[in-house]
Order: sequence, then C-alpha cells, then structure tokens
Amino acid sequence: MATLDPLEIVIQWLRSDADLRGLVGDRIAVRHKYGMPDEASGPWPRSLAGLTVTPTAGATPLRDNCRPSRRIRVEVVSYGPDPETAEPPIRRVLALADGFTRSEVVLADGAVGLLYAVDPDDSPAADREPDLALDMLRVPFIVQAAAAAVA
Amino acid sequence: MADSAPYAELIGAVTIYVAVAGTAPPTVGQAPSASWVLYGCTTGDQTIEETGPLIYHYDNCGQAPTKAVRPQEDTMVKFTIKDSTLENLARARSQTVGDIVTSGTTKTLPITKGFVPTEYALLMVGDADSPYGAFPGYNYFPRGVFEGEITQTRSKAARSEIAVSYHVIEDRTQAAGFEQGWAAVQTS
Repeated sequence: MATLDPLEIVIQWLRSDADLRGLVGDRIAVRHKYGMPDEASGPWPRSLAGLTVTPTAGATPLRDNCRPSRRIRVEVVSYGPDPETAEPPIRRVLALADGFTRSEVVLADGAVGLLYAVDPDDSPAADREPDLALDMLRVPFIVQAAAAAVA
Repeated sequence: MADSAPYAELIGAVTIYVAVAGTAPPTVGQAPSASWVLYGCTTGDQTIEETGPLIYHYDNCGQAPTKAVRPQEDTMVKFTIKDSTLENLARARSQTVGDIVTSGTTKTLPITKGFVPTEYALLMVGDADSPYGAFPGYNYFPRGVFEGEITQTRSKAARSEIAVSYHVIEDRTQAAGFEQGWAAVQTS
C-alpha cells in the first residue's frame, strides 16, 4: 500500500475548511506564488492573503518498528499586504487546531488519510518579507498522520 | 503496515464528566444526560492507571512459580483541571457543590473534607476514541472518590491548577465483572 505524505494530508485538511477558504481561497500550498512576473493575472495577487505549509525541523520521529504513522513539524505562514490581512488566516488555523480530534481527510486522488494530531509548537511570530512588501505570521505545528490510507 | 491498524492509535484528549455515584452512562455516541456535569477544561495528560501486583507461589520442585494470584486491584484516573472555581475544587476534594455557601455576592467553601468522602461517577468521552474506526467511545466508572490531596500553587506568572485523582470503588449494583466500570467503543 502506498505511503501517504503527512504534509499533503495537513494541506488537504486545511483546504477542506470553508472558513479558511473564505479567507485565502485556493492560496494554500507548500510554496507561495507571490511576486511572479505575471502577478496581476497570476494565482497569488499581492493584495490577497495566502497560506504556506512548509516542513521544518523539530519533531522527534516516532520509533515504532512498523512505522504505522508519521510525525512531522510544519511551519504555517500566513501572508498579506498588511498585518490586518495576514492575521485572520493564521487565527483560523489556530482555532482549527484547538480541540482537534482525530479526523479523516480526503486527498486529491480520492484516498482517505487519517490525521491524528495538529498541535501548535510555538507562539505566533510576526515577520515582514521586504522584497515582496508582505507581512507574515508564522506558527509551527506538530502534525501526526497515519502512513496508510484508511479508505 | 499490516501489523498495525491506523485507527488503533488513540491520540487526543477526551472530555470528562462527573455525576452522582451510580448514574448510568449514556449510549455510546450520544451526549451524556443532564445528570452528568462537564468537569471543565483539562490541561496536560489524562491518565487511567490500573495497579494490582501479582503474588506468585513457588514450591521446592522447580525454579519458576507454579501459581499466580491477584489479591487486590486498584484503578485511578488522574488529570489536571484548569479552572479553579470553587465548584471544581469541591469535586476534586470529594466534597459537593452543596458545601459551597452562597451569601449575597460571595461564595465560601470550607477546606475540611470530612471523614467520609462523597462518591461520584466519572465518564471520559471521546468523539474519536474508538480503536476500530472514526467512532466515539468512552470509559465509565460508576463509583469512586476524589482523593482530595491537592496542591494549589500561586505564582507571579503561572496558573494555579487542580491536579485531580479519582480512585475507583466497586459498585456492586453493577453486573459481575463490571463493578469498577468499563470501556465502551463503537465499532461500525
């Protein structure tokens, strides 16, 4: 059976939330697409909020001998032209993580992944991307997901 | 992967309810009845600790034990409550909320717990707490006491919390074998 990528599961889980989509639309990805040459018609206009989910170091790997699930640490970064735009998406992600219980996540290919835990691992950090003139808010999360599809 | 089923990994905290000792548990998957009171938000780990060391019997004919017995067993539930309301404190001491005296705008709770602790039933419910699928489950203890050995610490930048320990007592009105409570989970 194919092994599922916990990063893909957590991104699909975020994409499935209607409130978050209302804030960032389809702009949830591993890398942002701000500042592309054809930005005006491109997918990530600088005037709109976007969210990236990037793997980062810091999660202790699970030591189960059969590796039935994977634990990773991801950095969720919310972008916006000003702090007022960048803040609501990361707030929504933190709200989703509050009281999170085991959830099934339907992936793009129809397989169903199982997300065990999404837990904030630090307080939000504000930053600014000078070249793109974008404000950022970043929060790392510990994510654990089943390695095999459950359906 | 075949030696492990994804749902069998139980991860995540559960919701804890208290009620008068002997209160029946809800049907699995249904909300507890009004008799059950939500015992506030917990912090950190929630543990069910079962103890009862075996006693082994040996004879002169061999090296290894020939018989093992368990003369007694104990079940403890431990968790930490975040909200230091007098109601939460009263339960954690196995007093009752009836011990709180309300007068005008003040509430008063005595520290003395008394010789005989009040008995409670305890319920730990999880929406996704079944090892057999995305289904609910619970652990139920029909009768027990809160031990009430509490240390509350005030400090400049840390929260005072109530570390609760609940010690199960047999409820002999339950079916044989179920006197200490049971776990129930939905399977499909």
